Amino acid sequence: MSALLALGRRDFVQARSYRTALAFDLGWGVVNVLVYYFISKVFPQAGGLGKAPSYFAFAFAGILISLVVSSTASDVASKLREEQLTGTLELLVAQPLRSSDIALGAAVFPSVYALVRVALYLAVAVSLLDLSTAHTQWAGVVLMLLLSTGAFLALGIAAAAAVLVLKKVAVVDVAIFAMTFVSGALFPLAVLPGWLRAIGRVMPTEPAFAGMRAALYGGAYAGDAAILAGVGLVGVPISLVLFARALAYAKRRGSISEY
Amino acid sequence: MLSLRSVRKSFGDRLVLDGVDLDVERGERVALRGPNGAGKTTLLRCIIGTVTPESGVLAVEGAAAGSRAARLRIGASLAQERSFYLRLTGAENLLFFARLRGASTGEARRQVDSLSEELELAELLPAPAGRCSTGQLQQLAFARALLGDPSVLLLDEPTRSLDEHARERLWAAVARRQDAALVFATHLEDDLRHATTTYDLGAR
Repeated sequence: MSALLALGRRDFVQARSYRTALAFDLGWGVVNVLVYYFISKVFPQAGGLGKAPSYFAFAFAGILISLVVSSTASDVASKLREEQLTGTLELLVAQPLRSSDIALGAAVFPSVYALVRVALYLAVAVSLLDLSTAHTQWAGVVLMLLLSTGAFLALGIAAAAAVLVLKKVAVVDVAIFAMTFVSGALFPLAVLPGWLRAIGRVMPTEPAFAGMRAALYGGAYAGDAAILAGVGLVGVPISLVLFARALAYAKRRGSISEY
Repeated sequence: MLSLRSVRKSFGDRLVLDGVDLDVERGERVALRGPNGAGKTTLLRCIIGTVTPESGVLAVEGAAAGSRAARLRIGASLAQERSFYLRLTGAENLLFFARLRGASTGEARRQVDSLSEELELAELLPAPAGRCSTGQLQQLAFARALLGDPSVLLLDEPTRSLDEHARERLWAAVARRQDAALVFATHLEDDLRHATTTYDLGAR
């Protein structure tokens, strides 16, 4: 646990050293939320949104989960690729750490930072953008965020394993964008063509979006939560095994350091 | 303390290490010599466990090289110029690695303070590593290798970018660790004065 905290603190100190970029990142996220708020004003009669009271409310839940997905899935893989390129990954591997410490440690700061951003955007949306919380089940919101973090952490670690072998992060970013796009982050699945809707329904992001909307706007989220819990419980151990094997492969190839 | 038997490693078609046998006892200082590409750094990496040999047996105080037990006993300095978190200060880098080696926050700080005094790093530690010169990073890398008082030190060209005074401090610090085994790669004749044994990888 102390190694995980040390790895998380390292990333926090590094992020803090880029103060302007950090502030810009947070501010840009708020702008992104505002964009969907004003789009929603243009189409006040949007239908097919389930229990979401407006298009903004629908898209907002998608934005929150997309934040968690990109932080846990994409950022972890990018972080480890960066370490491989700069030479610090070799130093980490040389320390008395488990491979799981390295993988999970890379996820600590992105996960916590994603949750901080979610809290900030929720505060902005509720206090300034009239996001209704009349039916919000706050425990459900927290549960969905935590379970989503676990589920997509599995994806992030598996992606990091793939990146160690394939040495390409762009593949992961495209895959994650495609996954969130077709599984209803910003529009209902019903508007998609049948074949694409079928793909969207089996994406692990779909229950995360549906469950978050249910928790935010009044609905049953237990089923979606159970799916995410299952994905996390099964996926994280499998992804850690994949990561250990990818590291072993890189050691055989002599590619732990790529500079 | 360190035992290598029939270690063989190739990258693609290029055979880099071919049947390396080496025993290093407590307090022994072994210099690895050889031209560029002879496999000095690869051999150090095999001992650390960041490169896996195709065949052979490597043990660090009885623990298989690459195992957690072996890595805990090794302090290493490889590719010193590239292996720092450049936005973190020298002190933050050292504290981070001390924590990874199992030290509590207080113990990590004591280790860093002690090394700072011994190696005269006080002026380097508050600066971001990205603002340090190559020689300064090399001093920090050596300090990092000493964290946790390892019983085996592996240093890759440890004095390459150091000024004379820093070189003296480095070898004095090594001399104070009489029980530690040292394996270092070097091209410098001056460094060989500090070796008790020389292993020539280019002569096989």
